[in-house]
Amino acid sequence: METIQKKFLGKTFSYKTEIDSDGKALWTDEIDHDFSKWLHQLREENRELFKVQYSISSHAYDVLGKLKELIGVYDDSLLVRAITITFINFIDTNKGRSVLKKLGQYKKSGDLEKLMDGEVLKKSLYFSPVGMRDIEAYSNLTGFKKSKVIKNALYSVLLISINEDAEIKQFWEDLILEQITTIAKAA
Amino acid sequence: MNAIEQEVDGLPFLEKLTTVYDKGELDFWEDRINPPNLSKDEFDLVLNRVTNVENLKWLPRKSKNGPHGLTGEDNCFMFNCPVEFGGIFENTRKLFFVKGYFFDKENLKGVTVQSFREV
Repeated sequence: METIQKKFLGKTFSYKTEIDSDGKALWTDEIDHDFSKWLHQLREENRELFKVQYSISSHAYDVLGKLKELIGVYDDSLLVRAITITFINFIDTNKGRSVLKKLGQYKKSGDLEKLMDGEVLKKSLYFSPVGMRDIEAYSNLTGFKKSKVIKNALYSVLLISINEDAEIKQFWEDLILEQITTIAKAA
Repeated sequence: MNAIEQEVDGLPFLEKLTTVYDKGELDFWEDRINPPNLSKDEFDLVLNRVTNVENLKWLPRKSKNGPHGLTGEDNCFMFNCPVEFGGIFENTRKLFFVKGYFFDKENLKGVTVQSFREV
């Protein structure tokens, strides 16, 4: 057994585990549980580490406002966080791949340009420990900065929410709206 | 047959792997020496996006390390998987390599990921 130091958000999580002959460290369900506990403690001690900045146009913010009313969640941070987590775990996956491809065909429809119009608003939000693990991993895999991950998720979801295509609409109503609502209201 | 074995009975390999990963135990060997040092969190996201595996091979397992090294199946699987990420602005496609084995022999409880890296 060796003590391993794992860096996350610039802080160090130490754990004891088995090391194989190639130097690989064993990560078990028990260590994962301890890591989650450590992250919750870290968030209590330094909430700012879990803060991510993003930008949104005033037109997109209006569409977000309609979504807030529809879902009954009136906090920007809660809703954008729920949208980002839903995007990472449900939309940009096998389940949503065909819808995302179809959405790409509407890029030139003018909807995206309209959505991006208006004053640029600078915002920030705080992730939960679970959410931060998701966005960190997604950012590591794709090479996209966290602010870009949020922007990509936010505009994709807002475009889905206003699209009239039957398949996209059904995906939105049957799966995505419920996921966003559940995550936003659970916070 | 235990509950997991019943659930995966007859499933193709990828569905068996995702089901065992979701419902069973996990041992994950994290490579800290060779970059990019992909972790279990990254594996979660990749497995959620895999639609097909390429070059799936079954080979006799050499390593007996870890909590299930002695009780796991004799053969380990290895494959490549292309994965897409993206949304309305950003898109990227990556290829990953995965190697591992199911445990225990004749009493399926989980999966060990021995290697997970971008190709």
